[in-house]
Amino acid sequence: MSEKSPLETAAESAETKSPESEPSYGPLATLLMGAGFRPTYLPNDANGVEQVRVANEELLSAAEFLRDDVGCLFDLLLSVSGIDLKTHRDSVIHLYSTQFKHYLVLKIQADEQDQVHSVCPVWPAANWHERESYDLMGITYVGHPQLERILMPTDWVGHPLRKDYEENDPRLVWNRR
Amino acid sequence: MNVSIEPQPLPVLGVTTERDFDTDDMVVNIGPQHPSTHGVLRLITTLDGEVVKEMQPVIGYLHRSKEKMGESRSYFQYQPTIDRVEYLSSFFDHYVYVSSMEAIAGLKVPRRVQYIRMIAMELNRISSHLLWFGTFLLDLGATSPLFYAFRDREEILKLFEDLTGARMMYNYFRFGGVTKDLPPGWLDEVLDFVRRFPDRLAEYEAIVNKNPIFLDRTIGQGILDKDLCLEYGVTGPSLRAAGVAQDLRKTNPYCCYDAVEFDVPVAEHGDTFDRYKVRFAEMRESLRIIEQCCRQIPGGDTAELIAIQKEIDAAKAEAREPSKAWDSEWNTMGQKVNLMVFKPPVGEAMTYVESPRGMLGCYIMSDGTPKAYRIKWRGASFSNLSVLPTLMKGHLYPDLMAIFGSLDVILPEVDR
Amino acid sequence: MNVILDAIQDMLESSGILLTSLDLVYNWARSNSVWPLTFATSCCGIEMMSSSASNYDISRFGSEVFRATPRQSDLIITAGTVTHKMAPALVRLYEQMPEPKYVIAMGACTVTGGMYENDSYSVVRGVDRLIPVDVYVPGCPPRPEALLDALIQLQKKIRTESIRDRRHRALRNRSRVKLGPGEVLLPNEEFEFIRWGVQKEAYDVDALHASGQLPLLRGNIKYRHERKIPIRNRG
Repeated sequence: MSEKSPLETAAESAETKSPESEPSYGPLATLLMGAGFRPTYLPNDANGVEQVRVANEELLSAAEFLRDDVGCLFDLLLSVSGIDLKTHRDSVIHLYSTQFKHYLVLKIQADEQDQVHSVCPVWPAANWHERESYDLMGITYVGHPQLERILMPTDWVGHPLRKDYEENDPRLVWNRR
Repeated sequence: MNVSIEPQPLPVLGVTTERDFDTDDMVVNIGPQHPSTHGVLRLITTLDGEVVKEMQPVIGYLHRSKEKMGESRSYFQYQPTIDRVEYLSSFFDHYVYVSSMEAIAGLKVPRRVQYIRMIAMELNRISSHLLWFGTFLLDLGATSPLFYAFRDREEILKLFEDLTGARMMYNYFRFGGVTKDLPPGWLDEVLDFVRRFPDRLAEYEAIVNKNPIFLDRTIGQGILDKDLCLEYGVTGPSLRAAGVAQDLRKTNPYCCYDAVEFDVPVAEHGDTFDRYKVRFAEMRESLRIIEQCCRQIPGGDTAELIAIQKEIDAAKAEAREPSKAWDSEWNTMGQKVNLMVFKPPVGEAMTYVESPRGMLGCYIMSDGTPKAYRIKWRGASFSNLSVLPTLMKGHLYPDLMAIFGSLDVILPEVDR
Repeated sequence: MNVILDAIQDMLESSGILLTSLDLVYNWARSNSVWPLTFATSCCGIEMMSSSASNYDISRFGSEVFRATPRQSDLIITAGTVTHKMAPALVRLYEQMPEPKYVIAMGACTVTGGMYENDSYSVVRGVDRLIPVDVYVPGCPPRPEALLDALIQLQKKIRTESIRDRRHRALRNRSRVKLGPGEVLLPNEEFEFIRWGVQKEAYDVDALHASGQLPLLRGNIKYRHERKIPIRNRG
């Protein structure tokens, strides 16, 4: 490519600006910081994909920025899932850009009531993914149009993928080993 | 223990009193058991005559808690079960799992292994598309293409059985390599198949492509345009039929896909017939890839490698210099991994691969213990299916099976 | 029809030769034309399709026509995992099939729960907790030849049945659970004593009651046979 994409110029300017003592943010995190958001630093994952932690309050505007900005153009939402770290729950969004061919992992920490903003207004693909995350992990997505159970039966008790989940539904005693 | 259960009315999905229910509407339940063999999916359809007004899919009839099982089993104990995440493309499931773990643990993979994995995955792509072809036409009412497709699929399954020992659930890849080297002469059989198969494809096209009923039912139906695809996260052949040249083998090459030459078929309109054409063209491209891999594979056929190893052993026994050298790229395992007590370092990785249905991904988070902390599977059919209600609005009810069949949805990937 | 057959059998009781050949003919006709239902949940369904394709041809055994509706089929091959969400649908399908009906439990998931038996929270541990099974086929997935072998065993089983016993068998082997709104999904008492890892046996419940070895029943949950459901054609 003869001309650099905005990502590469941002990365270069980030390298010259940040001092040695701070952790070096990747190009996408630098882009977010340039637009006024405050992402927390997360190291790249083992495959080199960039990870960024965003606060719950900034999530919707950051998501719109990521989808529309000419520097990153994340038009494909791959998945929304939940992780149960025992003190809190995290919601993880995987994004992909068909223009720039890169991935991004967004992590959002759910608050004490296990609530996270839904990104359905930005990417309608998140609809079913967030329903599954609610069903299995118990994270409530504020602003979701139809938040109900999708994989388990509608009258199931509990959120199975949590670490402290125990199957104690009295209706299922007969299925014990 | 005194248990009392009050009778509770079970909720009825899809019909709410807040919606204005036109008195001409009819709610049809396309139940979890239906003859088109895509799995167990329930579609609650609201019809106005024959026009679909609203459709609500109910999934979860095959939710087998695969992600939770990953947390209670060690990495190696979990490995035989991941074939079933998407049973028609088991090699792809294995590849994403093994590749994520190799990234976390920093295992290097020899080139021969990568070529073997590529051949296996591309053959798997062909067998998956063949089954799709057979069942798609069965849904449309044509019963004979199913038998033709299964005839060829059996040939591929015979190749897989020679390679791995199983017809469907292979469990062939390991962390850092594969279980066993190719059987001697296997590459010749694969090249034989590659030589015979294009005639078969031409035969199938001759049966199907000029049939006026087929063309009427597929051309111009179910148009899934580019914006709708990207909004709903649709990937794979459905996205390529809409005009987006998105194929992970070209855009983010993994394995050794950058060493082989192939094209990515892309269509324009995004209707059912385009999705059919794209999958057919993909089968032909897979044949090209397989042929190049068979010729480029480091080490060649296993019979030659066995001869080289014998020469090296004989030279060692006679305490002389061997006349041939062994290249480490010919190994089938990069680094010995103790599978019983495999403790990878703390880390997380996600790998995405271009499976026959779209972008299939596996995200592993390890905390240093022999069991995973979190394993997340991103199945391509989950997002592909979520576009169906929007797609079917305004279409006729008899078109449902044609459109749904062309999306190529496999339910275990949706439900995991 | 059954009343007439009974009358004929009673009349010909003394001449035993004719009695058995009636059974023979009837069973021969039935066993060579067992039409399965397309119940393919999961991976075993693909092997079921392979067995119906041209390489392993199930139609040589008479099962060419896979019926889409349970009202017209006499065999249900439960090919694939059955989860809690799917269980009521399976039981409803079984109840919709007309007598005489048979069940082949195909694949490890339907025999005992398979690989999901240990840790899964949503899989039914074996389809015989829901419906009575005639032939079990282990394998994950079983090869098409194994399914054909199961079909042959089933045909042998059909041929050894007698017309008189068929009615009693039907009455005894109703589905294990009855579902309606607000009803609890529990099987018959017999099947609580499923020993893990060992072939399931049906215990003689009355004898166990008498010897005092049955554990306490739980609360006030009603089992099916305690509700007075009239059985038609009794006697």
